[in-house]
Amino acid sequence: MYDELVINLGGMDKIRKFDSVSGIVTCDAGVILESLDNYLAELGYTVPLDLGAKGR
Amino acid sequence: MCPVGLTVLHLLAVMTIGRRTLLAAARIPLAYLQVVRASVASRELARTYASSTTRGSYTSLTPKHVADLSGLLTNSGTILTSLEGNSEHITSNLLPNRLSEGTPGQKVTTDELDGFNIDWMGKYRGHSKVIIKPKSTQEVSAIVKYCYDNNIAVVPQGGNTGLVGVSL
Repeated sequence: MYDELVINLGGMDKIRKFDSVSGIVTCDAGVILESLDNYLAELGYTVPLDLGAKGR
Repeated sequence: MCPVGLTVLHLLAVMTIGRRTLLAAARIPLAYLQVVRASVASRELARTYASSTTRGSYTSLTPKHVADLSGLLTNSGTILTSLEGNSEHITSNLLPNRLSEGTPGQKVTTDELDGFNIDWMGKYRGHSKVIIKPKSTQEVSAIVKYCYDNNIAVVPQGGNTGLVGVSL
């Protein structure tokens, strides 16, 4: 709100690993929730977190 | 499958309230316009909380900080800034090669930073002059360490899609 340094994690958007047995996904901090949800939907999984702010 | 008697009743009911329905329908576009107008206005007046809080005693960023931070980006992360005199400083002192590639320390106008300074709903506005976009956790770590050592305030931002103004 003043003149902070904005650390934008938009560049860190890799989904690294998904283990379908344990249902654990490993991804970067900048992954957009909607992208992750779309990626997992193809595999028959869903993110157990649904926010109004989830994507663009 | 609807009995005829009921259909007639329905028809009568529709005729009775028809006038009212039409009036209501006519109001919809007007309401829609008002919503659109309100959202445009809020974008223009993007609110800042600066008036209701006080700035902490943090360091103000200078071109030297930008140059130092650029040096920390070892994995092709980028840095955008609207600080004046930044690019000359970097070019002459520290990163002639990397700057010529147009990646780190890219000079932009204040308008170009609006995408990072105005929230998803267009409701809140920040005034940051430097945006850093790391590409790896090592870069994030180095940046945060540098900021801590130099007493620089930071805001972590993801897709800037939050709806409550915390990402700026």
